[in-house]
Amino acid sequence: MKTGVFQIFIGLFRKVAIADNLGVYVDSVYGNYEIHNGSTLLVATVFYAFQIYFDFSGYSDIAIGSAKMFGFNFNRNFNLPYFSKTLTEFWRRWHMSLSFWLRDYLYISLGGNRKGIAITYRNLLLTMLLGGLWHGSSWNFVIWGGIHGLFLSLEKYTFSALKIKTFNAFGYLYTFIVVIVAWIFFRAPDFESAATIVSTIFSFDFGSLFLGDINKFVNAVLLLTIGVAIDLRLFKSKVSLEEFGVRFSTIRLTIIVSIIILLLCLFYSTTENFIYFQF
Amino acid sequence: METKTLKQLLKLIALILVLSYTIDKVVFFSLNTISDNVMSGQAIGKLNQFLKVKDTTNLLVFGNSRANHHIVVDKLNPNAYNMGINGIGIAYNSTLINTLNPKKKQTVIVHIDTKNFFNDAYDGSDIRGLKTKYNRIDKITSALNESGKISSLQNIFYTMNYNGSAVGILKNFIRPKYNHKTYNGYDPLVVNSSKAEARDYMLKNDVAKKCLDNHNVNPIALDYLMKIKSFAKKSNKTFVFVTSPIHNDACSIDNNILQDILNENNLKFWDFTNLYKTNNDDTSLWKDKTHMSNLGAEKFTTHLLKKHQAYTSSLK
Repeated sequence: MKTGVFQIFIGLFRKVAIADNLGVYVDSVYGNYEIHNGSTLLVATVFYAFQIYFDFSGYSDIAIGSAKMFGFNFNRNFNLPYFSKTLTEFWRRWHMSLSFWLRDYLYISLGGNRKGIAITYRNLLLTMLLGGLWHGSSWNFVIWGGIHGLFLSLEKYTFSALKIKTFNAFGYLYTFIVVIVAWIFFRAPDFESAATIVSTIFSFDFGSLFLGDINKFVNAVLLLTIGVAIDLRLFKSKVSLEEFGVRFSTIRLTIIVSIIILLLCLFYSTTENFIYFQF
Repeated sequence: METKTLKQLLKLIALILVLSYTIDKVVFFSLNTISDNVMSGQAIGKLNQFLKVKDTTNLLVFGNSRANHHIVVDKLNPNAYNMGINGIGIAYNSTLINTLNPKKKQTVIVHIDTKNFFNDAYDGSDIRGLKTKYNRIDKITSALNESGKISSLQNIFYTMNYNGSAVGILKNFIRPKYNHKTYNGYDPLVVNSSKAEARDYMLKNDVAKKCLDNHNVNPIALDYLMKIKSFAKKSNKTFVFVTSPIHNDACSIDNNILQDILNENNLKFWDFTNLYKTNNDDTSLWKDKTHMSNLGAEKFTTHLLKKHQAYTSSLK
């Protein structure tokens, strides 16, 4: 029961405070992407990467925590995905209900890795392209899936060629870069705008950063820092959020939830719906 | 859910409610103490300064960012305050005007834009900008209650009044943005040479928007205008409504309708939308399509001063 309560409030904080505040900046930049320089578009894209994560994982936490209160135990849907050294690991941690479904019902059904190396790459690419199309009938989603499929195949090739199982610490950066480049296609309204954003960022012509409403920007950065710090704590302690609440005494849980309520009052933003409601 | 679990849950909820309510009040009163001493920044400082000087100044300017950046109040009167704030509309201004002392003789310039009056989407939610004074100033509290823009939860969790502004308040408390003793509310927009090129390019490509088909007046905006009118009627003040210049406005239908509305209500309205349209080549007057630079603001205020002087002498 305590775990359920803890998870619901962490979910609320992730969604209503962190994701929605990040969304204000992302929307203002992506809404007028033509007038912004590379640094602004890069920051907005990084913000979007965390916005979609905290939005969807927060939504999942609220659902899983609520179910727990009624005695139903659902599998977790996110497991600190940005702490992944490889894209393969990322997909074991991101939107797990979808990625495991894609693995079990598409990748394995297509033959998985049992029919030779070329068929394995084809299966990976097809699975991710279809995973992209699952989000909507837009070329941007196909490209998003294609980027993931391509890099998953390249990883598989690299691992077998170098006879390694994962990358070193540099892998965290590599994975994050691939994921955020793919997010540009996921967030941009159409292919043309996504291509413009990618080319502006990779022209490396970084000018001064557009802050918009300075208060809103500072709030977004502050809340993002809190969100990342919580995830970092969970990652280091190797305990899942689901298990974390069990450790707390009633008094400690009361204090933590009361502080979360205070932060919600001070920082809630009502501008966004759940991103995944559109899919 | 088992009875034992339900009892535990109810106990936990009760504890959370008591503690969160207590923390909320402690933080709220602490923020009140801090924010009352903040006199700089748009989050609350400008509002605090306005509340402090509103009944001692001779001239007040209300409006949005265009009022803030376009009216050099010092030129109009040495004892004046510009209460123009970014992103706000007539709901916010009307509420503040109603807090003025009706007996005090003052000139009140209200900067209005047609976009509030002919925008279907305008719902008066800019009044939420006054929520830091909710339950603290009676007239603001009743205006907020009447607007329906306040969550009922706000009567339980008072810190919601500081939603989105707490960090800005703390920042301005620790390190004020400017010296409020020398600040009159006007913020000049200086266009330096590095930004002038981009500005010139933008203005060169400024294609005037066509008139919209819809010219129905927004009832919420009109209602707040009527609130200003009823206050003006019973007060000892001279009210003037002003629309400052826009770089390239092709549609005058909305301006004419607004002029008619104000005329019908015996409210003085000066529409300067197209004041500089004939010399559009002089880009130095502008910061962007809707905001004038400090040079433009100086020139415009000189024009406004002459008009105002002629008007006040005609009243005598």
